[in-house]
Amino acid sequence: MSRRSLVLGLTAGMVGWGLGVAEAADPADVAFFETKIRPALVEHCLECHGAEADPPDGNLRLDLRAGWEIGGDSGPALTPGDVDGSVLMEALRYETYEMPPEGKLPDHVVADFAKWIERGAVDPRGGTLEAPDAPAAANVEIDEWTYRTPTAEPIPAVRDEAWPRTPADRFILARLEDAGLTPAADAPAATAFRRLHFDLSGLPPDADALAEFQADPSEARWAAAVDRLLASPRFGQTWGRHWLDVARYADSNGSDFNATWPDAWRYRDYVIEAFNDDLPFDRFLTEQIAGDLLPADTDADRARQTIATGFLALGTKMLSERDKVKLTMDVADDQIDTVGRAAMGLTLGCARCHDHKFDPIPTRDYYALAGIFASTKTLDGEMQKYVSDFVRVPLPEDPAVTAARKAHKAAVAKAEAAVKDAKAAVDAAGLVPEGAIAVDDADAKAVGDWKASTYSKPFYGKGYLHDDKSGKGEKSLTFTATLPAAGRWEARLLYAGSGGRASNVPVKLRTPDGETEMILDQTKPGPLFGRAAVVGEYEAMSAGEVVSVIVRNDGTEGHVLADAVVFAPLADESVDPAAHAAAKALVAETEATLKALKDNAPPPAPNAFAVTDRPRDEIADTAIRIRGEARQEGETVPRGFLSVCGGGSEEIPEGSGRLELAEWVTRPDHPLTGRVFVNRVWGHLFGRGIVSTADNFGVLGAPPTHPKLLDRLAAEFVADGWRIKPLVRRLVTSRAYRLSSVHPDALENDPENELFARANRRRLTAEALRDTTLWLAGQLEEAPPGRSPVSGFGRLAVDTASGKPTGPVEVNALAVRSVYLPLIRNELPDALAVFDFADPESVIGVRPATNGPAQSLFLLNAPQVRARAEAAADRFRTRPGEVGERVSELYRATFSRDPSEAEIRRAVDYLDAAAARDGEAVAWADFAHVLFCSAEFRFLD
Amino acid sequence: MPVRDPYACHDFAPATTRRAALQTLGAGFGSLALGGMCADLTAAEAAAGPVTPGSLTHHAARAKRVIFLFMHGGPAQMDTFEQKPLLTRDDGKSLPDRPGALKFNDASSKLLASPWKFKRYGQCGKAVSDLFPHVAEHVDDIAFLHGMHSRGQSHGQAVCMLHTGSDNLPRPSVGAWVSYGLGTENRDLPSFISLAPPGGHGGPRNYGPAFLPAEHQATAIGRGGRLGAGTVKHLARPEALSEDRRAAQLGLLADLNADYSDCIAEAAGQPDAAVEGAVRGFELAHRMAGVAPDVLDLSQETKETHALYGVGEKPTDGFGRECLLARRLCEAGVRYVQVSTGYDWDQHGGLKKGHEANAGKVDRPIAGLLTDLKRRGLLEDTLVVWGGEFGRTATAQGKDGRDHNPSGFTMWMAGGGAKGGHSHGATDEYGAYAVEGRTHMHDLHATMLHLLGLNHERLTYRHAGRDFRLTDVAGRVVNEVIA
Repeated sequence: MSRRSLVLGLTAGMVGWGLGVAEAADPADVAFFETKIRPALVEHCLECHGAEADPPDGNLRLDLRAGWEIGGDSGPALTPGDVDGSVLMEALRYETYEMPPEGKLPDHVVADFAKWIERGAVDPRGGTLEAPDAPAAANVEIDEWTYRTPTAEPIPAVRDEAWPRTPADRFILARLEDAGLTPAADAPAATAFRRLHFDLSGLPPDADALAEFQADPSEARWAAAVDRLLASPRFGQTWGRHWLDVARYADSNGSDFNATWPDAWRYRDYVIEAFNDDLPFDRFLTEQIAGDLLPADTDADRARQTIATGFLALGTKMLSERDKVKLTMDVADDQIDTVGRAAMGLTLGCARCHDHKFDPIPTRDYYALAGIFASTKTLDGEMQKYVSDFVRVPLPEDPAVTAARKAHKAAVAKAEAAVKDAKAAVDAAGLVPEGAIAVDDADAKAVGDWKASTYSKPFYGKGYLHDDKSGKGEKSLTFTATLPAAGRWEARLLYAGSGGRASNVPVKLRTPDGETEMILDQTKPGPLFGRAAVVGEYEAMSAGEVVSVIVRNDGTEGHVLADAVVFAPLADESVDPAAHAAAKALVAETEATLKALKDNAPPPAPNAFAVTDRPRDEIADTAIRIRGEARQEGETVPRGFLSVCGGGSEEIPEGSGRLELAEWVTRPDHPLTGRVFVNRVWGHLFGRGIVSTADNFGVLGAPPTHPKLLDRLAAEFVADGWRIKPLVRRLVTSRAYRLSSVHPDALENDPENELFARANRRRLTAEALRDTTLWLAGQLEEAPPGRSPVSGFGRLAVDTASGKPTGPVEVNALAVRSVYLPLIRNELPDALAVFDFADPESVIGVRPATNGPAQSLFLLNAPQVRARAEAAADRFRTRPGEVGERVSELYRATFSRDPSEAEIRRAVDYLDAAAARDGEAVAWADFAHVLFCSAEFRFLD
Repeated sequence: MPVRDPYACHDFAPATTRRAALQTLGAGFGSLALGGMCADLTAAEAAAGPVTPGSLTHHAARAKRVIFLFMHGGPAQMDTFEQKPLLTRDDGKSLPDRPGALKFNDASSKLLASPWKFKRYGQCGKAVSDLFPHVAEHVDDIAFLHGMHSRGQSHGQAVCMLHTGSDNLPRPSVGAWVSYGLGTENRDLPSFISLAPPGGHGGPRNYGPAFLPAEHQATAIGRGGRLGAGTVKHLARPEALSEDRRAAQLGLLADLNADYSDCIAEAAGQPDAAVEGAVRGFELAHRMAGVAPDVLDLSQETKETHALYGVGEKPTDGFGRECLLARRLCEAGVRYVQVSTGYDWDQHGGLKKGHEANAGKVDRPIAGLLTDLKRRGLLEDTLVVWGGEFGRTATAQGKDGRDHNPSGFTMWMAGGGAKGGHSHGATDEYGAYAVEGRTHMHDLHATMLHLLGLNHERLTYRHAGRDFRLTDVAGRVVNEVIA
């Protein structure tokens, strides 16, 4: 439904003009318009700015007076009487916009426009921009409704007094009676019971509970089941996830630089706990917007409140944006959009570039909010060049744990050193074989100033020497040794070769026979073990002969290095195999020790993935950005809230203003916050919100089907202290909640089920589908893992080059509840992504509902589905009893109902035939697998 | 009032027509996880805009489909298709300051001549560098856009800008828009397929649907410039499951589903669309299985065709396979095929070696694709687009490298209504900034949609309170490159 007419009223109201020009105009001015201006407009402007252009460029229309009065993206096109202050003139003069784009108009035409504006821009053309199909009157009412604080509407009278159980039922029934419709029958007990369990716990009822309820489907038992489900931790795991959809929760940044967020999970657990603890919603929201600014009694409270602000930090960001001003404004935009849609059901993002076209959100209000978020620190520093880093707020921790981590770190360092030593020993076993003589650089005779260094590792002894790339031709090192035996010897110079070293180092071997010289290229690692080069050979005639190696730096350009000289006997086998093997074994041993240490690492120091206020001198109001361009600043607006919801410029005594914003959003008389949340709850339970566009209560959202019901529920919700569990209880104990999903008459009269005359058949969520298969397989791990789902991942969650996740997690092998799966943006687990999981790119209050072969193929062919089907089949196949009984038990567990005789017969036939061919175990697995694939399993009636 | 218990009807007659229907589809129930197709249209979609999916175009279309050859990393314009003699002459001199021009953070101000020579080709006499001797043979079919400019100095921004028209916010990709606007030509295949798309720099966002219905997401085959097995997830049934067992499963499944949907239809007086959709999902999967393996099977091509694309030879095999697969997909009715190199073209250093290796991998395959399309009569209505997320600087980074440059670069189009043998626009004398025929990425998108018969201002989708377009509030059709 289009509601454009209202908008125009509001916009025009804001502009402040409602000129009735034509009547009073001078006929000469009208004539001037008709002869000079109208033809020019027709010829040069209307192709792009006329009624035919859809939409007109810049949303500016020039084919009627109202067009330029109201103006387009840049505001009113002209101000009568103010030639130089009119955008239209700037454009015609090619000063700002260049209009028309194909070429500047002749000077005399431009002069005509100037004259026309100067004389008051008389324009006799009437008409409005209104879309012809806009039904005007109803919309004003709706808008009045949207921005009016909800009150506890009186409960309407109904004719069928026997039907309703709760006040909500009376609202539903009253509308149905008005429409001449009757509600559907109550759903069969088992169907309602299954619905309740999936809705409140994300899992089906177990067989005993189901049987008990079917035996006595009384109100008392229903109420008891509701209480049991609300008290179970499964409630928070299921309902927390609904909020995580809205909060665009993920464990990595996604976007250009998919940074791992090792601490985001604390926010996830915070949300789950908040629902389990029934934290009042106003408090919940306040903590998420400004928890860090709230007083805290204990360290634990402070930590929890800080973690809550992760809500603001979770948006996906272009971290590599080089224009950090733009990035700041983009981050603020995500936060404004999220708070707007999540809390208030308003699409505030529209007002970034221009006043909201449809809702009464002026750009000023947007930048009043932007000032608050621009004064908030969400990113901090750079993790690599140009790539912004996120904020980490250290969390308090048990000192014993801190000490243990410190000890572990030291142990790792020690183990790493041991590995390094062992590796060096392997090299050394080759470099300095049995019987060799090593002369370290420290023992060399130095001429000139040689610098000691330990920079290039590994090295022999305590370091090596280099010439510092200076004093060329003035320096030398002489390594001298006395050979202990006759025989053939080889002289090896040890050095760390690499780029930047000298390529032509003169090295001399001096022996009793005389001298030999070679030129050594040190720009590359040495040919011997990457660490050394042979610089000469000598045949000693007897023991005790003295030999030297002399390294000089004359004629060189780069660094000249010398680490040690080894004189090695040239035997048949220059490396001692036993020593080498022993050294290698030691490497393996030390590496195993190190790995064991790393595998058992204590958790990293706890941080909150959160936001903070910027330092005081960076907290400021921000400027309107023209057309949303970060660098085009307009007027600075004081920080504040939405004028249409009773906000405006606010006194912000100190800080960013988030605390004041949170207080304003959660005011009991705020027109939207309570209603938007109650509507979300209704939507999750009834398959569609009273406002079906749960994130958009604006003019372009869907109108409410039962505004008074929603108002009453919202008013009660706020009056009761914003508590969620009582609200859920109130709704699931209604009769409307427990209706059948089929209603033979309603399809004709109310095909969209706007009146809730029947239950909406829904798809199981991706999480419920996966968790239920795990549960049937007896494998579901329900306890919170209590650690980061992305621990062990690198700085990037997905490697840019290979496109593969950097962490050790095999997602398909995990058996945790789906809410605890790692949510790496761009790498969501298939089990979720294929079944319409909320993509964490933005606020998702209503998930899409799609069907497609991808879903079918996942169920048919994904190995993990198959494995669970096998495990589930084994559990039921091996029970005692006739095959028919066991089939019934599998049916009850899977579908929460008994199979018919015919279904049992068919199942038994299938199993018999399959077992004869493939054996009983395979037959049952194939059968359970088919149940997992079936449409009935995927829908919630 | 009394309403029938919907589950009163679980006593059924075992034989169902659906089962029979499945059986007639034949054995060999392979599978193909094609995410993007055949999902039910949602109500929002039906009400979404002047163009309903799969409907007629806004105006006569010149192209029916697109192959987008994405050179990930950003090839240098002055080293490939835009010759700059003055750059060669002034090698090592300073780039003159231009007020308002983009500053390149890392590049020095010293001009770097192209290490490659240019030769003239074709009737049009277009000069092309020695990096692309094979593509050069096709210049008479190519319209060059030398005045390209875009947003985003980092890869992530610029890649998203190229593929989605937005450098910061999640928006539908070009292929998703095309799929949404035109639907598919083959209901057994997805309308949008991405071959070896980047894993980073936005990853799936670059072929995602954002807020468009999920069916418009591309089905990805391979990743990061590698086709891998050339197939998609969950394509094959578990190995241990024999064909017979799978057939038996499918028969039982068809019966279960028929019971469920019939039962609802009977009680409610008409079928439930969502349930029918889910049931149809299995049937469609089965139908696709008959089509897709053939389409994906490159061994059906002749030796001569393999040689044309450089398949089976180094270094062209990888990209040659992608190009050949792209042609087969187009022939089978896929609307939009993204073909990606690896993240290869980012030569901040090692320009000479790097660009030579990269061009060596793609030159013959691309030329082969153009030849093949042409001889099959497909080039006429297939738009081939070539380019990277940005170009590179005229100035040197280090001794042998160039930095990112979104302010002036070259892309080209062939076939599908593009004006062959024509060069539009230019960068300045050194190749640094687009100065003539400036074409923003939004303009390229507008032009692509135009050639497909879609008006970029009218192809809209309502989301979060407003109508979104691929071209945001910008975009101009570049009529100069339309034949």
